[in-house]
Amino acid sequence: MAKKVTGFVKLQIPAGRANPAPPVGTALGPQGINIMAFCKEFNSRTQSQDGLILPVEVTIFSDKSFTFILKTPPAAILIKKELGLEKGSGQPNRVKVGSLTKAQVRKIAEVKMPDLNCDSIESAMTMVAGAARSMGVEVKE
Amino acid sequence: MTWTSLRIAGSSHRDAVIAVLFAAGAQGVHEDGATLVTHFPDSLDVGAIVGMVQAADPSAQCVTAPTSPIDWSVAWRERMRAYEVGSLTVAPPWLTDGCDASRTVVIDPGMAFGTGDHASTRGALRLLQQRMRPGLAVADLGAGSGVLAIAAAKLGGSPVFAIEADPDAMGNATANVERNAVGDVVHLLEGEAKALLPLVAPVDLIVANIVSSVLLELLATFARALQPSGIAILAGILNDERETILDAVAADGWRVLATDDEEEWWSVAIARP
Repeated sequence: MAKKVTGFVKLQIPAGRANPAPPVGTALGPQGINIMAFCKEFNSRTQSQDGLILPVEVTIFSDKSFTFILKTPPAAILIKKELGLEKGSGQPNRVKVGSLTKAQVRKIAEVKMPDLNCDSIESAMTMVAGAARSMGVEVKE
Repeated sequence: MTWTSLRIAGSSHRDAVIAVLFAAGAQGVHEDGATLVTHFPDSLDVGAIVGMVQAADPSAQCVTAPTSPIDWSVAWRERMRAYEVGSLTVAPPWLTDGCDASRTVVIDPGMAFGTGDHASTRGALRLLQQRMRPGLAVADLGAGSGVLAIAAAKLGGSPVFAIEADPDAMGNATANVERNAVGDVVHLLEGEAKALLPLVAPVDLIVANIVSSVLLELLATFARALQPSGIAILAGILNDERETILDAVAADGWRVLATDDEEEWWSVAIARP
């Protein structure tokens, strides 16, 4: 287990739908890792989150073994999913495309918490509210 | 199917651009530093997708190019090879034709260290072959893919305890043990070596391909877990850590039996104090 890192690849992949076609294959293939094993493991770990785009960080070791860490989806994706939006506003200051209740902001903050540099749910909620406003989504008090 | 790559640099609205790419049918996005990379089958209008990206982020600089027609579901295998290590061969499943199953350790590369493609694995394997005798009880610490435990079983070791703390490695190790038909001899245990080794002791031989700092921490645990005539094989030691390890084993009364060098990695077999 004398692991030595030789590669690091960041991808965003729909939950449960990794396959060896581009860009997963083109990003991981040149690293020499078992792409089918990666896809199988990624899909197995994420199938319960169907419909979400998940960031994943793959670390490759010198003997071409690998490991990966799943991150939480971007706040914008979680907000759109929560509100059933196709996209955010092109003019967030003037055109509002929806609104979140405080409970909804908390729900999203709880999902994002592991990846945020926050020590309280309140500060995570502040960050989520900021992301919402930047895409034209109001936050109701 | 042929594909076109789309590389996007200079984006100041990455989330918006990524959303456009997925909405247009991307199966994933590679974050290559500051550049976003994806690919679309040629059945889609990539020019129109570039227009959508630039509408979402006017600062985005888009470059398209044909994607090399490589089937990565199998092409990654070309970078793997079989290794002959003493009387054993370590090989991935698709390179075992003509190999003697009793002397071949078949490892499917995956999420566990120990594919055979690393000098520290091979160093441990060479020392293991020198010291192994049929019927010896073996503990493999930091077992990873199970490569050393499987080798010990094929060399006659019984029982063989393969201890690994990383849960991600266990699936690969389990499959490799089954693939090599040594499930009646090799027992996989998930957990920390310090906690589990005393539970399987005493053993005749310990093989540990870990990092030197962990090896140093475990030396006293090794001594307690070995039979009086027991041997420990330590690997995962860089050449410039050799003196530190030698000083530590000498201070504890271990006797050096043999050493091995390959590339920048050094391994050592030591006899119990």
